Amino acid sequence: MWKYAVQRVLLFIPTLFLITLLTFGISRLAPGDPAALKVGVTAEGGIAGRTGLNERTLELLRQQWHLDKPIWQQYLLWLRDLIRLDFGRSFQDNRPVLEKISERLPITLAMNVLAVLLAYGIAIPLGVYSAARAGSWVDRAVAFVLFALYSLPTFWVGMLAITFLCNPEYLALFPTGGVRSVFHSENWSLWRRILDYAWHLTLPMLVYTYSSFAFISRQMRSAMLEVLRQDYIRTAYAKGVSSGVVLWKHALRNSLIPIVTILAGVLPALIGGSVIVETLFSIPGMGELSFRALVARDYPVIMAVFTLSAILTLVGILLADILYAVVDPRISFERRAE
Amino acid sequence: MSETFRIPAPGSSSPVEPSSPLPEQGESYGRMVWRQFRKNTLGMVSLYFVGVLAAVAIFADFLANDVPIVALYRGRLWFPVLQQYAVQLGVVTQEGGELIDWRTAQYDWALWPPVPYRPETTDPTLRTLRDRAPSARHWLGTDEIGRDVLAGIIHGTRYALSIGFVAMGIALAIGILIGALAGYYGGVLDIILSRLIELVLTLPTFFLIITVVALVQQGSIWLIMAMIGLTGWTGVARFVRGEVLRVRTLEYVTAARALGFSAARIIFRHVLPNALAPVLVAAAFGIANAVLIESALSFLGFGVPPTVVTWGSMLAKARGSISAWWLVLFPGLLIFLTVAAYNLIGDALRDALDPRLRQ
Repeated sequence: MWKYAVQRVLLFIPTLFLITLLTFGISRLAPGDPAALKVGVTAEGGIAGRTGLNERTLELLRQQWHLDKPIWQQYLLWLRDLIRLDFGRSFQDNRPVLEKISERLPITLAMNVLAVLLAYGIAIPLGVYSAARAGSWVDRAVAFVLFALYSLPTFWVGMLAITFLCNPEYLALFPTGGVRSVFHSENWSLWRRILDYAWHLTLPMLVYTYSSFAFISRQMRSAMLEVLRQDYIRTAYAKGVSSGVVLWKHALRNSLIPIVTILAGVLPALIGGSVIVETLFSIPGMGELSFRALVARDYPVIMAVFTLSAILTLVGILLADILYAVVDPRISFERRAE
Repeated sequence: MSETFRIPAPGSSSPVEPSSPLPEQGESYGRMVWRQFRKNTLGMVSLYFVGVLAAVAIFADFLANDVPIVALYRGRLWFPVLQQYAVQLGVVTQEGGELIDWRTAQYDWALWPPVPYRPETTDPTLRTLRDRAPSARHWLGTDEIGRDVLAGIIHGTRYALSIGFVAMGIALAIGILIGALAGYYGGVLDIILSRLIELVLTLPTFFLIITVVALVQQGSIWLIMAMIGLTGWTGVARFVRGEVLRVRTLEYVTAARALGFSAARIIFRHVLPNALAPVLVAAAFGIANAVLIESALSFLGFGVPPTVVTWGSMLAKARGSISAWWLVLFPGLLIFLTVAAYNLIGDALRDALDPRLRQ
C-alpha cells in the first residue's frame, strides 16, 4: 500500500504542475492590472489621476511584483519560490502569503473535518436505516427531505437563515457572522468560550454540511439497496443470522465501498463551498481570504490558495484510494500499481 | 452536493448500468424509455415545469416590459414590443419622432404586459424599505434602486435555462468526443485521454471557475457557460468510453467495419446511439449543477456584469439589505425549483432506464 501511495503522490506532481500553470496563465493573461488597482488608477485616470508620481509608483510596483517580465519568467520565479515554500507577499498588505494563510487555515480545516465527520456520521446510519425499510413511509419521507436538501442551493439557505434567524425584525437566534462575540474576553471559562464558538458556528456548519450529508445519504441508501439484493444476504438470513447483524455487519461493509470513493469528491466540494459559506457568515477562513484576494486581484494569494486547494483535492483522492482498500480487502494496490 | 459543489460521484460515473432491455414487439428503445418515464409523476411534473420556464423565457418580453404590447395612439395602432425586436434586429432604426414614452403618453387604449416593467427599469420614487416591499404595484417587491423583482425573475429565466443547456452542451460535446475516441481506438490514445480525464477530475472545479470568472473582469454569461462546460465533461467521457469499449467488440460493429465504414461513421451512427440514453441522465444532473454554479457565482458578485439581472445576482442584492426578505425568498425559490426539477428529471430518467425497475 505504501508503494502505491508513493506512486500516487509522485503522479500528483505533474498534475499539480499543470494545474498551477493553467491558473497562473489565466490569472496573468486576464485583463486588469493589480498595480493600478493598488495605486487606485483606472485606465481612464481614475480617482488618483494619471500623474507622473503615480506612473513612477506603478512602475516600481510592477518591478517589485515581477509584472514587467514575460509570463513564463514570472511562472518560473513563482515555481522557484514555491519549492522553498515561499508563496510571496500579498499585493494587498505586503504581508507574507504563508502567514496570512496560516492564520486562516485552522478555522477552515476545523470546519471541513467537522463537516465530513458530521456528514458521514449521520448519513451512514440514515442510509442503512432507510434502505432496510425501503418503501415504508419513513423511507419515503426521508428520501423526500434528502432530495429537497440536495437541490437547495447553500447560498440561498444561508441567506434565508441570515434574513429570518439572525434578524432582530424576525428572530434573532444567532449572530449574523464571525466566529466569536465581539465582547468576548480572555477571562471567560473554557466552557463559555466553547459555547460562544458553537453559537456562532451552528448556522454556518449546518449550511456547510447539509448538502454533502444529503448527497452521501442518498448514495448510501442506493448502495445498501444494491447489496441487500445479493445472494449472500439471503444466505445470511437463511442460516438464521439476526437482521441486525446482517445489516450492520454483512451488508454495511460492502455498501461502504461507493461511499468511500465519494470522499474524493466531498473534499473539493467543501473547499468550494467554504468560499460561499465563509463569505456569507464573515468567517475569517481560507474561503473568505480567497474571496477578498479575487476581488483585489491579489495574485500571490490566489495562486497560493489555489495550489493548496488542489493539493487538498489530491489528498482527498489519495485518502479515498487508501480507504477503498481498507473497506474492500479484495483490492490489492500492488497489483493495481503495476 | 450542493452547490457548486455538487460532487461528480467518482466510481459511479455511469449513471445506469448499460442495459439491453427487452422492448415490446416493434417498440423502439427510445419509445420504451419514454413510456417508462411517463409513469413517474414527479418526473413528468418537472418536465412540465421546465416547459413552462422555457415558455416564460421565450415570451419574457411580452410578460414583463415597460412598453405596451398593443396600443392605439393618435389614431394609429402601435406594437411597441414588436418594434423593440425590430430595432434590436436592426430591421428598423429608432427614428427620433417615433420615440414615445409610453408611461406618460396619452394613448387611447393599450394592452400592457402583466408586469409593466423591464428588469432594468428603475423606480427612484421608492425611497424606504417599506416602499420596496411587495405591493400591488410591484408584486414581488423591488431591489434597492427600484428594479422590479418579478420582471427580473421573468427575464432571468432566459439565463437560467440557457446556462444549463449551453454549458451541458459543451460538456456533452467534449465528453462524447473524448470518450468515444478513447474507447474506440484504445491503446496509446486511450492512455493519454484517460490521463487527461483524470487530470480534469482532480481540478478543484468550483475554485477554478470562480478564479477565472473573477479575474476576467469583463465577465460575461458566455464565459461562465464555457467554464462550466470545459470542466464538467469528465463524467460523460468516462461513461461513453466504457460503453464504447464494451460495444466495439460486438458483432454488429465488426460487421460495420467489414462493410468498410469509416471510424467516424461507426462511432456516430452505430456505437453512440446505443450509449446515448444513459448520457442524458448525466446531462440532466449536469444542467442542475450548471444552474447552481452560475447562481453561486452571480451571488458572490463574480461573472455577470452588473447590468445583467440573473436570479443569482438578484439574490446577491439581498446581502446589502438584510430585511428585504423578498429579495432572498423569490429568486432563491426559483433557483431551487429549477435545480430540483432537473434533478427529478435525471432521477426519473435513470429509473426509466433501469431494467430492474421495469414492469
